[in-house]
Amino acid sequence: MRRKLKEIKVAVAGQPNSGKSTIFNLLTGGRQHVANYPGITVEKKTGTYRIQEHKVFLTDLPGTYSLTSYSLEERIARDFLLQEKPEVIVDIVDATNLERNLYLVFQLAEIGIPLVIDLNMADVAKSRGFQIDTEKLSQEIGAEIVPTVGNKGRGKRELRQTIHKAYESKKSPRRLDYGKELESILKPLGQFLSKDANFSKRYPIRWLAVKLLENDSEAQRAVKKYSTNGEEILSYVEEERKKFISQYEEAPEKSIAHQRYREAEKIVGHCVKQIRTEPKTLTDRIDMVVCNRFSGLIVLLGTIYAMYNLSIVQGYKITNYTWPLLAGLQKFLVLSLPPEGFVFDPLLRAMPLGVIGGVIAVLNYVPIFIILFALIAIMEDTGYLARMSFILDRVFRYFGLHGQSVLPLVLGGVYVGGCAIPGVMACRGIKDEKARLATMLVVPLMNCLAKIPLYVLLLGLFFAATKGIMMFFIGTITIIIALGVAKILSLTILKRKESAPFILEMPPYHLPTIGGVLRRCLERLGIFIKKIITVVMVVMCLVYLLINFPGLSKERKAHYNSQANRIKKSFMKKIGEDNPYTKLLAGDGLINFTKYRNDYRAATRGVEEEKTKKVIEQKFRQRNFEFFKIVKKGKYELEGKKIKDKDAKKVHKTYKKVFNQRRELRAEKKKETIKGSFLGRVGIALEPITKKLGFNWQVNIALISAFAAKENAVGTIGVLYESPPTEREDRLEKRLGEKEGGWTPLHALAIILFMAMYPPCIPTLLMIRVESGSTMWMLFATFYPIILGIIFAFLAFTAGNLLGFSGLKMMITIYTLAIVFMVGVGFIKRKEKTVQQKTAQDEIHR
Amino acid sequence: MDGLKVMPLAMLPPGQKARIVSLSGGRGLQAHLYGMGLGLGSEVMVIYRGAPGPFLVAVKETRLAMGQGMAYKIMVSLENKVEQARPLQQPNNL
Repeated sequence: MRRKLKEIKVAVAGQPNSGKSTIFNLLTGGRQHVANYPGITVEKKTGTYRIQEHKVFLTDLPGTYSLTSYSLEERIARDFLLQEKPEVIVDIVDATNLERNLYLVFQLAEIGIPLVIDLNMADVAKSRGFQIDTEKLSQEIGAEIVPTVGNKGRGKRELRQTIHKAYESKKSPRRLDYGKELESILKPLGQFLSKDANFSKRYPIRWLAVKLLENDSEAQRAVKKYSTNGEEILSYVEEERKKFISQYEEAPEKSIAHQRYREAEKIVGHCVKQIRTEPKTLTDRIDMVVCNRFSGLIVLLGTIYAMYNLSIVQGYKITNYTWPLLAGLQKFLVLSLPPEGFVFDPLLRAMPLGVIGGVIAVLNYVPIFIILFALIAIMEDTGYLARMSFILDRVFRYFGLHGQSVLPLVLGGVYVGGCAIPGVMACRGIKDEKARLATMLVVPLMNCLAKIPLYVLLLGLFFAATKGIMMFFIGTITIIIALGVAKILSLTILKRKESAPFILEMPPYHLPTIGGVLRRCLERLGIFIKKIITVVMVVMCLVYLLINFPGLSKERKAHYNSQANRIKKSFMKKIGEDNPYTKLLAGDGLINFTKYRNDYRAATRGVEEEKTKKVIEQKFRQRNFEFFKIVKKGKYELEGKKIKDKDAKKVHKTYKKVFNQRRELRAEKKKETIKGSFLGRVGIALEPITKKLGFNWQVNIALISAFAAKENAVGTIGVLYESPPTEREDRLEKRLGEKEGGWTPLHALAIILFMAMYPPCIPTLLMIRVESGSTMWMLFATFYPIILGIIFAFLAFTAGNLLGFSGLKMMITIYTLAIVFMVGVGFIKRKEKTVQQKTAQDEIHR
Repeated sequence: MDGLKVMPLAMLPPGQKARIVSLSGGRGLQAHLYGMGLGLGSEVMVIYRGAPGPFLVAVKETRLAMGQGMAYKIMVSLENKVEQARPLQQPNNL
């Protein structure tokens, strides 16, 4: 019998760049779960492991420098600690940066929950010449310390044991002594607070006293809400604060912070010896090159090019190898569906067919995503991403953006391939409200992964010779336009929003670990694939309904059925009554044979090896020997003898004609159905307008269906240009290429540019609403891209035709125009210059 | 305070060490900066001057990128004895 294990709740805290996620992974092994904190979109990682008779339940808190209420991450971390009341806190401390990390340690200790300090990156500290006396450090801090090397997996067992020990001992860590001036206020305040027994159970008193003295608004709210004598306490604190300020000419929060610094400095002085000082660390030396305005730019451009080449160019090559696998999967899935009819297929076949096709078409690009996500993870882990912010800040500032806008833009697909959802989510890191909103609104203009399939499809068809250079133009024009748009937004509708200074930590360079990169890459891939399988499937069903309903009228249906009967009858007549196969093919026989032949052709297509071929033939021979004779055109072996069956040959020849007639009939029916469908009517109604943009009704339908998720554009085109089922494994490029002989590269360019400016998909829009907290911004983000898209498509198609330009020439023209526009708005003066003068006049003390 | 030696961080020549004497900005921002290691009395050094563009600043082992606006909000003093000018100096006996 399995006993139910007792659960220990453990929170993992730490400052950013302390290697927190590495330790979290180390502790939990693979067993972890990623979700969101309730109601908000900050990622919440949880995981478990067993130790002795306990099950440890770990929660990874967001990385924070301190526990104020400045940022969302800090509020989440402290709310978790106060409300969920974990039994142990593990604080991941960067051993090379002990002094700063102690600032958070002191704050965590005040909460009173048993604390374990994980001294991470102990090896780096050692190699940099730091000698840390952990025993002494443990004594001075008053908490257990475990040195670890997260990326090498060292210290896992010790850390697990220490956590368990801390849980068993239930010992509160030592709290920082703030010195007699502050303590003379904190102690009576603590007594005052603990008068209300219920309240003191809810909040750690010491922590609350310090926070109240710091004038922390969240702490004040807590007192007001839950304490019976809240008002009294608050006025008492206010009084004490005033007294303190008048006596020491300094706000208590400054003294508190200062005291923490002094203590940290003192402890480090006692416990850390620097036996060797490097005048310049390797990181500093690399930064001299990487952050330099000239060489840095070259490194940056090189990196972006490498990312593009590896993910898009090489990734696309890989899809050539993965496609047969997907085609096989598709074939397998299709086999499990109900069989097709002669003209009309059952709904349970037709609808899943569209859904499967749509999903498979997008899954084809998974190799590209894998490489891209891995590269972004590498950039994050090495620390280069922060340098990108640094280099680009000076550029972005001209456009009302922020150095930190780079992560959202890269995630959104700064060059090619990204996703606007994490992009919009990453905007939260930008503390400058103006820049945050501007970034959030332009992130969807980036080239998200879902836009790429359509680019690749159309470029392959219409720009085969200049595909590379065209991709470069499309990949970069979006950022050019986005910068211009961001500037215009920040000059107009965002004019009144607050802007905050740029400050960002540059973590030391690290070699990324394979495990860490892989984990992050797969996490993101998982989210993306989940999105495909949920959103896209639902949307493909909807699209199917919208392009197939209300459906054909009774008369038209009857018309098609009679056509079908005519084909069948003439087939029977042609093979003649005396043919031995006539009976076999009468009634349902014909459609059964059609299915048999389709399966046979699908099974043997591309099979070259004689041995495999024989196996397949044997299988089909067993399935239906009579049908087998026909598909073999009457040439087969029987008991070792080669037989030539003239009747079977005749049937086969006649059938081929029927097959083609049927295909034409079905295509005609399909087109008529779509044209008469809901979406078709909208697409056709829009055609007179969109003609100027170069869009026919099929493109209109595809673009409308892309609104739910852009992956659908290719998916829907796939449905609209569907070929007969047996040829479904042909790639869409080929099918579209055969059907759209009338298209010119200018048509393709207009569609591509419209797609580049396309409004965010519904999940992204919802995210914008969550992150901006306003429906208005969501609606704005929906409509302005449509206007942009129309302008660009019109330019490409109508202006292109008037000028008689080729596709590439028109692309270059538009690209040049976009650059002129961007540089033009970039030079419009910013009005933030006054900050400096204001600062100079600012008082030093409050 | 000796006016000659106090200057915004933005004016500090690269490679020159100095101590922070004051920060301006909202209380929330200040508290955030404290956590990043930018506290009163912290030793700072400019590694790379932006102008135009962000500065790269060293605070102990931490490297921070900050915009010019930020670099003007931090006042530093070349004098290393800022400590004595401050009110709470009594050593604390734990």
